[in-house]
Amino acid sequence: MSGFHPLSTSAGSRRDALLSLGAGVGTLALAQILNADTTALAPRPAHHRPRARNIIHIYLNGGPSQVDTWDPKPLLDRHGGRPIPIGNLTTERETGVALASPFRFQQYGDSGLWASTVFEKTASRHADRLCVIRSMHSNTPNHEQSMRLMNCGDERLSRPSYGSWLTYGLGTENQNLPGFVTLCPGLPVADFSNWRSSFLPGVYQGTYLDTRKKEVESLVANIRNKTLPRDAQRQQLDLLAKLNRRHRETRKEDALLEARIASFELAFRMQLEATDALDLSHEPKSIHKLYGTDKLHGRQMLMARRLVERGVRVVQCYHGDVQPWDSHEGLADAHAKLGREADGPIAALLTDLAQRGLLDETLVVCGGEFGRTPAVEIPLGANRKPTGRDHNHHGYTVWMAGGGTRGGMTYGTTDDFGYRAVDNPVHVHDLHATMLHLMGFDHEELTYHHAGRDFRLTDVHGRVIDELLA
Amino acid sequence: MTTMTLPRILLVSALALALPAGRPTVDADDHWAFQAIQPPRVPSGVHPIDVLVDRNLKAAGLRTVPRANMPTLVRRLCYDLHGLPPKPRQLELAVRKGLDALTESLLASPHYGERWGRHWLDVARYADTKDGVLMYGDNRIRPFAYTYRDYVIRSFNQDKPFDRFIHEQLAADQLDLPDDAPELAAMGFLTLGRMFDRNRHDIIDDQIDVVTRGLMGLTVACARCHDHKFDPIPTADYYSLYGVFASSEEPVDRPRIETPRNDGKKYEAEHQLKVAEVRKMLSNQHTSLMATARSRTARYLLKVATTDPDINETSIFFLSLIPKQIRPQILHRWRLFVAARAQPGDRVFGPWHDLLTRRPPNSDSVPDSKRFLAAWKKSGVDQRLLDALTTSPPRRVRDVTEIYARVLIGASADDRLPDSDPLRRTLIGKQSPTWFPLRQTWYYMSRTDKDKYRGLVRGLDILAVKSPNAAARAMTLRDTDELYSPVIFRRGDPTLPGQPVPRRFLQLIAGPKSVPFANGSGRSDLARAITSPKNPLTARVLANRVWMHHFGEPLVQTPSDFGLQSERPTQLGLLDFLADRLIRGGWKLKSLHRLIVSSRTWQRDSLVPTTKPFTTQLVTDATNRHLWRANRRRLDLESLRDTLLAVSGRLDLKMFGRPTAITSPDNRRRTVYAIVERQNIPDVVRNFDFASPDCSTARRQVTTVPQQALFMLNSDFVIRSAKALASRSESRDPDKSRRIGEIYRMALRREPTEDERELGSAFVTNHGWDRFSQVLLMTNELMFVD
Repeated sequence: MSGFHPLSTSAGSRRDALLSLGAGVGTLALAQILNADTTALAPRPAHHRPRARNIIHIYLNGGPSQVDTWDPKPLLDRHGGRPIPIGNLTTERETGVALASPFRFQQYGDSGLWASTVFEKTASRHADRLCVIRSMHSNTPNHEQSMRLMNCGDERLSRPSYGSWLTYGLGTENQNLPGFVTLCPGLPVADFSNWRSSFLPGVYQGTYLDTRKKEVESLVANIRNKTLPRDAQRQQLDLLAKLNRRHRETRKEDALLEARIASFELAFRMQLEATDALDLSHEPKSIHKLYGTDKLHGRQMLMARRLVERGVRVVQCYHGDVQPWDSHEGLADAHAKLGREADGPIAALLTDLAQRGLLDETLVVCGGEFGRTPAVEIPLGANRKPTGRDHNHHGYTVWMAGGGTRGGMTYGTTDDFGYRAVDNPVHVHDLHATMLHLMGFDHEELTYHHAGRDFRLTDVHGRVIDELLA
Repeated sequence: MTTMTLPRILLVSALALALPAGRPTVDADDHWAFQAIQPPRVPSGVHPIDVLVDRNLKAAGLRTVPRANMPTLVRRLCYDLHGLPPKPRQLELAVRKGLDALTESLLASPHYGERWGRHWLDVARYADTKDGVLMYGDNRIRPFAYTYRDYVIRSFNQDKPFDRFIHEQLAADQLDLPDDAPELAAMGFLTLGRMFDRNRHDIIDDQIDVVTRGLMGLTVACARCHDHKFDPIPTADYYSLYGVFASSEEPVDRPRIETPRNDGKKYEAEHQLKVAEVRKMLSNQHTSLMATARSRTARYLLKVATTDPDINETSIFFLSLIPKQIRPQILHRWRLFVAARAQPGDRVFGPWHDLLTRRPPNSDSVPDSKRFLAAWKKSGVDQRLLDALTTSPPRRVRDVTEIYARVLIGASADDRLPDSDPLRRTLIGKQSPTWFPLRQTWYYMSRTDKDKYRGLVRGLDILAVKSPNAAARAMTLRDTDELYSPVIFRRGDPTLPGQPVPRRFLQLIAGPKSVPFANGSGRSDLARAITSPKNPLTARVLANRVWMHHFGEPLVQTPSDFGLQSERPTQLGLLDFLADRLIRGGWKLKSLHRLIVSSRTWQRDSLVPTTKPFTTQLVTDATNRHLWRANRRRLDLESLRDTLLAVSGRLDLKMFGRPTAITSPDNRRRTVYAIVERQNIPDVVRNFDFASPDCSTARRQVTTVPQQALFMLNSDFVIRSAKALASRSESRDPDKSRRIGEIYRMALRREPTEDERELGSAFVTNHGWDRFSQVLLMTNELMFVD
């Protein structure tokens, strides 16, 4: 397998192929692609020494309320039922008086990190590992736009997801598995656009796995031959290899032929490995108990751990179908229930990653596409009671753990009522810049030439938040 | 930007700063692609392509490989022109009557349009589906998208002159065609892009992009927020084109382009009912929302006087509004309206200025009106306003805004007043902040009404999806009743309107005195400017695309970017010759194909002798820039799938009509007729490098990944094909060696060697015919075209 260039657009030179593809990976990666025997998914070095090798993004889709989870606001509680003195900010819907948080907050760990009962387990076991950004903000109070912004760095235009950018930048460590996997029971809002590769080659798209299904075939299409035993397939491949070698006798200069021959061998090995990655049955009982794999969220978290353990770069775990955290009504019950589903498995994941020494190199990110209004939402229907909160992009919380982040800290603040990020605001672009930084990339240099210009995840925005780094 | 290109950026932007916007920079003046097409002289009696290529080869000191053998050429030609494997009779024809005879036969066949039309669909970012939220199942289908695909295939088959083809795609509605002309479907080129959550700025951006990159190799969309960083395309030009598309809209009732059959009549009736419903709701909402806005003048004015603009007034267009809320966009227009008039001396808003704009911050009290009365009278402030201000002199801000609201509403309700009355015209007529065009009503609706309206509109499409017998309708555009006069959005931000610009063509080509478009939206003028023989880009871009699909490599490496960033092609003379030939030959592609495939250049072998100088040339001209050999090419998704269907005897050659999912086991039609998805893209489609329909594709990528091998090894589709291939031979020949020969001939169009027979025979003994057939389907020999 020497000197082939699978990214090539034909038998042309690698350099041309790269230019036409837009080789903006940075000089190191460029050199790698130019000289090495590689595939589009071969591992490539980043710009600088990475702090994290993998990302697990626990996506609480729908917009968890910051003032009911990680950002306590005593003043809000005191004003409950009365107008918020600083006024309500514009969000998607009309809102009314202050809605006190129905959840009790307390401090945890040596760092004294505040958290509500919604994430009690995560906070009580891991407070000193969490790096809580309380001053996130984004552009619009709408799910689909904010989902895409959080995943792809743009609200409406077709842009590659950050997972695709990272797979493009780093290749995949384990050739037998995709580099970027998305786990979701059902589909989140804006569905496939959340993990699209857009103008990057299609191989960098996230591989979506519906975790309501249990069969492993859904991880990689065609991963299993339903009729042919493995040894028979081996012999089939042996005959193919012989025929291909004869064909190649007179075409030795053409590296694409060799690349395709190699890809069949790779595929053959991949069948075993990919199947194994999602097969939870070999995990010990204690692990099943830790995660609570009798429930979906526990299984999903355990799958995430197995995938990063095997070198999958980016794993996204969505909480559920559509937008479960979208508590427009009945927030007290809804958030309590959602917390019961998510909290234990998240705490288990952190425990497990830490005990395996994986947390240092795995960046865990947890949050939604935005937060919720401190003011109560006025329902559209006349006879419905105001018991929930509207979307709020002006200020919300996202936390990170592991992967080179500083534990036991909060960063940034929202105003006294939790409406708007006021001190050290962190835009989604800044979060992306920081995530890329931790993964070894300068977000301004990870570019791709397309439609006449170089594109990047953060467009013309983004800054690395140094204070979050360990 | 990458560091590699930094010096150039600095140079160009420095120049751009030094010159008035829009003046071509020095760089641009010399840029090869912006020069007139200069076809080199070619002696008669020789093949012009070969003469031009040979000149270059000679200068570079390169030798050419010999002509490929006939079976190789026949296979190459069949894939080139049809995307299908050769049939025995095609080889026979070529051997008997020469390759030219086969070329003619292939060009005359409708499969030609299926192949070359698909190339164009890459450029046109064609998809059968919508994108956005909850676009699943029937909801995701654009029921009549296929009419564009079919129109494209037909146009290629008819060898429609490409200038006409372009004109129809931009402005078929303005070509005086019959109301039901099938050519109306051509405008799918503009209407089939992504939906961008219905943000029209983005939709227009996509239209500008597909038109300029797709047709002229210019990345005009780069000039949305600032002047183009490299090319002489000022933002003004972007908004000139923006104005063209902002003056165009899709009609609710799409024109029917075929006569309904009897079984399609039910659909027609239901469709008309639904259209009427949509129109009625739209018109009712339009009237009532504007009336409500007028009645809320006091609230709007109070907001204008006491609050700062909120971002959702201009950029958030999908709020869930409730009926009692004021409309952010109207508030925005009130702000602009008042700001423009609140000047000392203004007959209506002069007092507003004196009373409100100069008061101390956060103060609710206003100055005493008496102080200004004399000045107001002198400047001719409207008497009704003066009366109101003196009858009950305002003390607080709210008093002022309420007085204004009362006076304005009074005038608007008084139908005896002429519409030119300065108070009345503040609330009545198109200049009023309360007015908006009918087609934009949706943005102003309350959430429940909006959902209902969207449901009605969606219902039109769903009805069509569910009515397989519905007569085809075209996805057209038409000019809006009110043409839009574009202004530059500073930094691309619609909240920052700047200088007005005319709707007109790019100054880069039309010159700084580019004349404003005269006809309606200007789409027809735009088409004429793009296809003008004086435009140096369009024919070159097209010739380059055609060349790319014949040779695997284009002459210009960036087929949709001929700007300053593009490299001058090694074979510029050849490109100019082809472009000139295209224009002078009446923009007909088929004669270009004939010319190309009849050249020695195209007919060279892809096998490289292992002797000098060829082994050296593999290093010195590794990319084959000089065309001394043929490029071996891999089958793309369509050719691969069509080939597997064809060699296994399963290919259904039915043309045109509604698409079927590519994953459907019953789908045996050519891949060009499979549903092109935008959201949930099937694995096979993305793993085999299909063109993303998100935006115009210049050329497809070629990746080699194990997912492709997994498809060949394990997919139902390939396994079924292998089975069919094996059983195709079964009945005819029980003899093992002869049957192997038969499968070889069907799959690879050749006889097996003795050695291959033996290998095959041993394998068949253990594993059977199906698995053996599958091996042949997986070979590089099948996958690559020499």
